[in-house]
Parts: sequence; structure tokens; C-alpha cells
Amino acid sequence: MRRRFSFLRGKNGELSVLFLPGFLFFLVMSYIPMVGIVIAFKDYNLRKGIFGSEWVGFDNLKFFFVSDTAWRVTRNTILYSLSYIVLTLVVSLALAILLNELTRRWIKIHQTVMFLPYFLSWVLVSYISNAFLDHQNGFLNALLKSVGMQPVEWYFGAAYWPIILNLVHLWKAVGFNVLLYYAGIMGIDQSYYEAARIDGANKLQMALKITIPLLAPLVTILLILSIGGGCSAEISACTISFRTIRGSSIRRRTLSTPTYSARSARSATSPCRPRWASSNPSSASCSSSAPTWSSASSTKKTHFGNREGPACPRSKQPQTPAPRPSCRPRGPKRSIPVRSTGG
Amino acid sequence: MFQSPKILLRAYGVTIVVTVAGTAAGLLLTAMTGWVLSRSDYRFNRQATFYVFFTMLFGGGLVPFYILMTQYLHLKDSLLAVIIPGLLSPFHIMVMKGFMSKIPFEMIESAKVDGSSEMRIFFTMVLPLSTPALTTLGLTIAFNYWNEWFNAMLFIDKPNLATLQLLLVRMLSTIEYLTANTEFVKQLGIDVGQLPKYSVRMAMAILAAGPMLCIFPFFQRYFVSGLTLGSLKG
Repeated sequence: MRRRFSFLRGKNGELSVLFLPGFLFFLVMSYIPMVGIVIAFKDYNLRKGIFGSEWVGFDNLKFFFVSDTAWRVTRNTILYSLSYIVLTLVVSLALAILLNELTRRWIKIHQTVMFLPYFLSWVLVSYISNAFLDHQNGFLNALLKSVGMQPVEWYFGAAYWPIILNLVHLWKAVGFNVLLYYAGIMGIDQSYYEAARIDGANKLQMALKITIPLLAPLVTILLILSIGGGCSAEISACTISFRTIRGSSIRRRTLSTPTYSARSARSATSPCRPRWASSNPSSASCSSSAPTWSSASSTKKTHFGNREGPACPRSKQPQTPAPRPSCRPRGPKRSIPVRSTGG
Repeated sequence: MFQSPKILLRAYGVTIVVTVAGTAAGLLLTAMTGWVLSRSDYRFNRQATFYVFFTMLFGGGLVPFYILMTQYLHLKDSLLAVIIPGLLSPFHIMVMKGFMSKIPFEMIESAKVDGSSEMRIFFTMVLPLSTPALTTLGLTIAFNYWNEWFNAMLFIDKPNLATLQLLLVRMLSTIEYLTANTEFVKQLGIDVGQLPKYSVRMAMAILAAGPMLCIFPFFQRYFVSGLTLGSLKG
């Protein structure tokens, strides 16, 4: 017995055992249904089962593409997802920027209020929208009646629904996205804003010229993900994880340390050392993007790196490696006046 | 026709059972899978990662899933049909993996040098170390189970196994149907006036949302910190 299960021993064996439940789960829940998709090309008969049924090729799909529904349905899908994405993006970005201007307590309250719908199920959301749209008891019709207008049968008019759906989706999704963008804003280095304030920039200019450009990478990621994903919950879950992975991979590939003093200590353990940190330039064996990044971050006061940072300054910094002098941390720069006074 | 307190309490019970069981099992599975995927020294790491995340891009669709669940796994009218599909999600695994890959490998190695098995490392070291991720993901999974209605609608027909959300869906659609076809319903001898009042329905919606509304403000900070976990705060 012991010998027979010897493959379950040792590191890989035990890890395989840990992975086994997940393996089985995805096998049954995801991969077997994937095989089952052949049902689309068969004349499915309950008694014969999926694989016993006759193969009919594309016959099942013919009616769909012959009818004009195919075009309409595709168009609707594209238009809806497009408007969902754009609306959520614009509104939550704007709200996140506004949120940043509030005091701490108000931020908390606003966050809670906006975040709440995210945790209601779609069933409850449908109840709430029903409270607004119901023909006899709905708020909207009551409002229309009180102004002396005819009540509208919202549930029977197709024209209202693009607007209703967009609003409801926005209401449910906005809180989460605001949170993500706000977290991104928190990761932006305050010294940018200080500099802008000294130069006399107003709030709007700061938002347009600093916040939005620095958030661009995050916005791009969220956009790509929301185009790929279907429902908002999946998108959001995906974004969290994607950011986590992205952050960690960047951190592994490049050097990003909280302070200059810690840099040399960290660079010793880092697999990829920036050029200026290594005594021998040829020992810098990292990919070409790495020195670019480390130089980009080193010109700023980098607590960026370890925070949300990695994505942010990238957009601002040119992709080509920065010239050597600017590559250096502040140390050498500071040493120049010292040298001049000494000499 | 609608003995709401009994039905409602029953639905509450079912939902709580589903949520608790699903969250506990799902969290354990997520942690196990995430831990294996985060171990870059695992021999089949690449294959396993691909295996899991491939399902994020492609799926079989609803019909094969339904046939599988009902005809091959015989899970119709069983709470397992609601629990099992929500156990694992590639997204949750991704979050978990991202968090766990930051556990210093030196710790694992030192435990191994001391003669600990992988199982023991996982249960006595990795799980306690990843409490922040477990809290966040546990809450997410719990919310998902609480709000889950689609699988329930597909697979649960018995009224005494209906979850809270399913009850609400059924109620909304049934009443809408009955009120929309008043003539037809009158012929059946059902008095439309006996249907739950509009305000009663809304009250039930509040009851369904209630626990989440109460819990949410207290757990919000876990969500917020969980979102910013890893990538944001270092």
C-alpha cells in the first residue's frame, strides 16, 4: 500500500493532492461542459444522450443567422456593453476625483453609500427598480401624476429600456469602480500636487493634468477587462486579481523600493539589479524595460514602487532608457554641491 | 396561498445553510488551489495555472452545464446544486494566489528543513498567515452565496428548498404574470386582490436585503483593505 501511493509523497505529490479538489472541480464544472458544447451541432435526443445523438452540423444555427435577429441581437449586445463601459468609466472616474477632495469622514460616508448597491443581488435591484417603475404604485408615475402628466407604462415601452438599464447598471457598478479609482488616486505621489500648487494650478487643472494621466494605465486595464468580461461582478473580481498579479510581477521583474536608504539593501536580494547599483555594469542582467522603470521611479520620490505605484509613473515616463545622470538616486546629485564646496 | 412567515423563515434557513457551508468549503478549496498555484517550485505549476485560468476565457455555456448537472450528476432539487458551482472561481483563486505568493519562501523552506510535510505547512503556516486574504475572499464568497439566485432558479423546484432570492424572483414573476393577465386569472377563480400587497412584497425585499445591509457597513473596511491588498499597499 505504502509503495503504491509513493507518488503522493514528496513535495510535488503532496502539492498535487492539495490541487486535486480544484482539479476535479474545474474538470467537472468547466471542462466537461466545454465538451458538451458539441450539442449545438447535434439533433439532441434525450434518450440517446449527447454523444449518441445524430450529427447535424450547422443546421441548428441556420435559423438564427437566416433571421434578422442575429444582427439585431449582436448590435444590442455591443451597444449595451459599450454604453455600460463608457458610462461607468466616466462617472466613476469623476466621482473618484471628487471624492479625493472631501474630508476623511465624508469620504467614508460617500464610499459606503456608493458601495452598497454592489452588494445587493440583481433580484433586489429589480425590486428596487420595480418600486420606481411600477405602473400603479411606482414613484415615477406618482411623480408624473402629481405634476399633472399622464402615467407612463414603463414595462411596456421598449424605448425606455436602454436608459433604464444603463442607469441601473451604473448605480450598481459605480461604487466598486470608484473604490478602485480612488485607491489608484491614493497611490499617486503627493509631491506632484505640491509642485502643481506652487506653480499656481487650480483643482481642475490638477485633475486633468496630473490625476487622469497618472491613472491612465489603470483605466486601460479596467477597460480591457471590462470589454473581455461579461457581468460586472466578474469584471471587478478580475480587476482586483489582475492588479495584484500585475503589481507583484512588476515588483519581481524590476526594482522598486520604498526609500533610497533601503534601496541598496533591497537590491542585493532583488534578482534584477539596476545598473547604478551594480559595481559591474555587465552584471545587470535584467530585461531592457527594467532599468527604464527603476530610473523612472528613482527620479521621483519613490514610495510609489511598493504601493499602487508600478502602473502609474509609467505613463508619464518615456519608454526609452533615461540618460545616466537622471538614473541616479538623489545621492550623487546632492554630492555635487558638496564636492564644489570642498574643491 | 402565501403563508409568508413560514415560507420566509424556511427560505432564510436554506439561504443561511447554503451560505455557511458554501463559504467554508469554498474558502478552503480556494486557499488550497491558490497555494498550489503560488508555489513556483511545484513541478506542474505552469500546467495547473493554465488549467485553472483557461476556464476564465472559455466556458461550455448554459445548456451543457444544465444537462450535466441534472442528468449526469443528478443534482436537481438538491442544495448541492446551489453550493457546488459557486465553490471555486478562477478570479478568487487569482486573488488568493497573488496574496500567497508574497509569503516569504524562506519560511516554508525552514519548516521543511524542520521536517514538516507540505500538508502541515499549508494548514499550520499558510492558512494563518493569509488571514487577511481569507477574510476578504470569505466575505466575497459569502455575499455571492447570499445573492445567488440563478443556479437556484435552474435547479431548485421544490418550494421547501427555495433560497431567499429565489423566493423573491418567483414572487415577482408570478405576481407580474397574474396581474398582467387579469382576465385569464379571474377565470381560474383566483382573486387578484388576495395576492400580497405591493408594500408587503417590498417589505419582503427589505427582509431579504436586511442582513446584508446590517452587516455590510461593518465589513466594508475589510473589502476596502482587501481590494487594496497586495498591489496597493505593498
